Amino acid sequence: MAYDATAKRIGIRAVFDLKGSREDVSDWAGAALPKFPEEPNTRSEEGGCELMWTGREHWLFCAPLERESELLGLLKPDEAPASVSVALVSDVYEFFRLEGPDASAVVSVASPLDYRALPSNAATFTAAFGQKALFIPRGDAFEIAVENSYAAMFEGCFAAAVGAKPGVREPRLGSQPA
Amino acid sequence: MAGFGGRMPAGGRIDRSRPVSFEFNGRQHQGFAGDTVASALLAAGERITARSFKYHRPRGIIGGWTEEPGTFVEVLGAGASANQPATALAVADGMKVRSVNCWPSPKFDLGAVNQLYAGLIPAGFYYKTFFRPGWRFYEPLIRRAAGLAGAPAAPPAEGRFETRDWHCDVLVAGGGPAGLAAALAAARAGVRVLLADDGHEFGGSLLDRNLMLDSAPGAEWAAQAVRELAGMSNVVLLRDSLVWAYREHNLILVCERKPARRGLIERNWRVRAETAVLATGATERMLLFGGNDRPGVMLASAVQRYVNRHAVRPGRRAVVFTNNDSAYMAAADMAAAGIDVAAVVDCRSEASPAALRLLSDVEMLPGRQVVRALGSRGVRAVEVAKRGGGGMRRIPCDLLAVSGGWNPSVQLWSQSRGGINYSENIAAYAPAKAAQAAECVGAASGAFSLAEALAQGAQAGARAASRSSAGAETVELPRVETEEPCGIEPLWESHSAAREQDCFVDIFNDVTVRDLRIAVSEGFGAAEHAKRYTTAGMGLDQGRTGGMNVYGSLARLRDVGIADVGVTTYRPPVAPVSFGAVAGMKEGPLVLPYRHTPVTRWNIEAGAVMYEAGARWRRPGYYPAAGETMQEAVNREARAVRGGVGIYDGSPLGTFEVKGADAARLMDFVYTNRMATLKAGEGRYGVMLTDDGLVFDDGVCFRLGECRFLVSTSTANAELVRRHLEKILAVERPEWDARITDLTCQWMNATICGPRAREVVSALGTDVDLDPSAFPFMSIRDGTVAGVPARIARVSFTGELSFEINVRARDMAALWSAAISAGRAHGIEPVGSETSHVLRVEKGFVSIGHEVDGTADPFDLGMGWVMSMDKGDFIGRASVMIRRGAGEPRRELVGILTKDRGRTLSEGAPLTPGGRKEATEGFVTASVWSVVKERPVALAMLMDGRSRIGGTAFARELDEIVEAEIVPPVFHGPRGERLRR
Repeated sequence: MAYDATAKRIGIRAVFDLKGSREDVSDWAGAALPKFPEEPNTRSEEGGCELMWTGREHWLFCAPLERESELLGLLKPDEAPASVSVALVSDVYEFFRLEGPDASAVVSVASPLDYRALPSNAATFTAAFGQKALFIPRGDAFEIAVENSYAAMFEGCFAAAVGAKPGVREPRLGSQPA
Repeated sequence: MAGFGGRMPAGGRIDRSRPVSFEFNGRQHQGFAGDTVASALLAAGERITARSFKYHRPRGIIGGWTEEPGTFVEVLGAGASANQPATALAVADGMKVRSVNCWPSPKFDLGAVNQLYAGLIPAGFYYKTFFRPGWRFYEPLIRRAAGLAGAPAAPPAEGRFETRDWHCDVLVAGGGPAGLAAALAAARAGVRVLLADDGHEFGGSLLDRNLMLDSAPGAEWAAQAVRELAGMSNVVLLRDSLVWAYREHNLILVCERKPARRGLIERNWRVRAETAVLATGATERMLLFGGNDRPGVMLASAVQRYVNRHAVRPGRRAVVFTNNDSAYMAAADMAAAGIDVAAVVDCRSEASPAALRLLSDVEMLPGRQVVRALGSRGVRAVEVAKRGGGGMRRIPCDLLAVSGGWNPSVQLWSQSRGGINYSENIAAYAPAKAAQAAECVGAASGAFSLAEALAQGAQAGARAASRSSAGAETVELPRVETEEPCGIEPLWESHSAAREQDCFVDIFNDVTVRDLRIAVSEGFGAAEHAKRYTTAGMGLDQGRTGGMNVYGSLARLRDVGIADVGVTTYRPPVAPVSFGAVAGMKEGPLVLPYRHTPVTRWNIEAGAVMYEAGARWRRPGYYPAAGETMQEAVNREARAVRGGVGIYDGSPLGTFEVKGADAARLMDFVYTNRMATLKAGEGRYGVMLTDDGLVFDDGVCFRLGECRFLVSTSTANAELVRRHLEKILAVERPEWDARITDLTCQWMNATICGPRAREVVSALGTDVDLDPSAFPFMSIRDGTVAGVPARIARVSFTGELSFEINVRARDMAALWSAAISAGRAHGIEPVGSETSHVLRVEKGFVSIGHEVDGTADPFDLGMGWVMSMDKGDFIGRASVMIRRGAGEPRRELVGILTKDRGRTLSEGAPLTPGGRKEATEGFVTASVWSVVKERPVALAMLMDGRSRIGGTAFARELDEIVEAEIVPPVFHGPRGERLRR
């Protein structure tokens, strides 16, 4: 193996996609959320929950999966005012944890992200192996969230990036009939 | 003259304690670590090392690095690689290489027969010859004869390629004196520096020439600079690394050819640099004379390099032919190495005094030029004459060292879209105005002295650092103690028109001055035209040694200034880069992305044939039972849906939530029909158009609440629809209050369809009232199914009663298994994409990529009803109306039934009037075996099709013209009663 790093699936979390002005989102859901991050592409944390500022008037609220029902009751997507969009997206994101002495080298292979310039509380969307991905540095490790439909491909890509044979989990495909 | 100088007893930068053995064309040779294949072959006395591309003329080593136009080799064995310049390929123990463009060997090459009729095959002859009976007739033969090595037959047995991204404040391309000075200045300022050099060691020209800095050899200063840089944590040093492309936004590509990381063969760096300092040096060029491609004719700088760096004498007795002062330094080094320098032939009336001081006891022949090199298999003498003619003289020699001046290596600069101007001072193109944050320094900028290179490099490094950091330190530069004369007088003519046929401007592609003369005479006298007509500059060497000679010759032949000839465009790569490095880890199953639904594992275990079915989703095409053909499997699945029940994985369909006070306005703006009138829980089929009024996507829009909609799109266009909506909100209607959230991967969808679908959903267990009065067609309900939260939609793509059960991705596999179990009693069958296609064709539903191919509007598809003309403006409306207003006939959707009931049409088959070979009037968009009609049925887009129903269409198949009846495009349930029940 070229790199001493591992990338493991760590499953899904309770994730809510929040859109709207900071004031409106705060008015509707502030009581359930950590304080808002000060800078774009950073996150704040409180009681095991994180609020990530990932775009213009766009936040992701992440919490342990076991709190999903409780938070759904608090955030009430169906009742949110017109100015606020609350959508449950827990199943959209499959989380991976990339760690090991060469984890950052694997990030360089996976992504155009300038990880050396990231603050420790970063949370930012970028590309990973050509697809949209959420990067969250955790000390010397990284959490990377990708759309669940790409999770198997990402496992193959990570395996290839560290030097294992690529795509070992990919089934043999038939050819499309003419 | 026989023999060569061979290896010198001492000196050079080779490691004599590490001998290496390698094989060249089946013969064993010895070299040392630090040798290239070229230097080792020269040391071994190999004179003919290759054959030329077109005429198969014997060729030897000409250059010293990647400018080499003559000798390319194929590396055999484990590290197989094609078409490597022998001059830049480091020898390794056990390496096996062979020459390209020859068979069986460069010394005896059967292809040399081409030389007998060379006069008959000048540039452009192929354009005039190979069109009768057609290019295909000749192509196989020409491809076989072309000669360059092919791609390796198999991937590397060990190791892999990699691409990686990197960011830095300053990227320095080139590790010669200017590049090292730039890197030092930037690195000492504390910014992030990446220094890349394609050489086997840093130092550039300091290693090739005897230059003194602060009373020590220049190489020592280079070594000290590298040591300092290597000790800095903010510096990345990449040796053996070619900076090969310069793209927009300072994205610069670097191919690292010998990464230290275990298991890596090559690594391609995609570097985003705040500033680039291009210290890429300069390339010496050839002069024009008869036989200037003979083995033994070399660039003077290359000879100097072999002498000083590799301790190799490429010849015993040399003549130097030059138009500038730099060759005098080379001649001095040659003489110091023990080569007998017989004469210096200088086309100028006099060299600079500084140049003349470098040589003593050497005959000087000013105002003269070499007319021709003699010797068929290697130089044995040269003919020299006065520039104006006369005074012909023959000088015996086995080496002719030529210097035609220096071209700044502006390839990367030019790729960055920086300007280049012709400079009379250096008789070459030099960098002008920058287009990106980049600077050229040293010889690459046209400053050929060492002192200038060091100063420019240091200043540029400091400037670049200051863009990213508050302050940059001043670098104290070493004192240059070697005189470097560099005067030049351009020489573009070859003295004698009679010699134009063997006077090569592009040695790689065998392009001669005669070829250029033909090109000019036929109107291809501009640089870009001449390049394409003659192929000059299109070889693996990218015309480094000959490009200026092409421009100069064209200017002379056209009697215009050089700048009037123009220049060709520099494109990546600046030197050959392996495909592996470009592809990186994208090999095997990772070449393209792929997506799975949670049911993939179940599908595979059920024996489904999987393939991509839009937007990278891998989906089941069909589920063959043992011994079943595809058609049998599809028929079985389709009959299950028509007569019982089937289940289809519709997860890949795009799903978006649209929320906001203006969500309804947005829906009415993007769909052709009215969505604002929907009540919560209701849905409507809709079509989206492009600005051109052509159908872009179709799907279903549900209203979830007053300000909340759910948009379901086709699989293939899901991402495009998202971008479409985002663009409208960002650009066209920024004042609207609406937000888009992609839920495609949140909600997976199992579609249970068929007359018995309600029974199966009921058997699954649900709290949703499934009665059609409570849950009618085109409505959506939230609830639970099989104990998990679900959102059920009553829509149909099959024409049958259908329930789309959307559940969270985490619940999908369990729901699917539960549905299969619950449906077993009802004969449920899993249904693949092929069957879905059959069912929608029978029903006459249109599909993206078939009927919706980017050329049809709703009226063409028989869906004029979907155009709500009584609502406000919507995208595409005006275009549709303008087009319709013209009253021109258009292709319209129809059904097609072959008159021979056993004949199935090919999808895509053209329809022509009477089946004649003339302009088509339409084509078959979809063709299937229908289980309800028990015969093939097809859909087609046919000119004025609806008015021709009942008539006959003719499909042109490969083997016959097929007659077919034109019918309405619905073969099953035309009143829609089955899907509403």
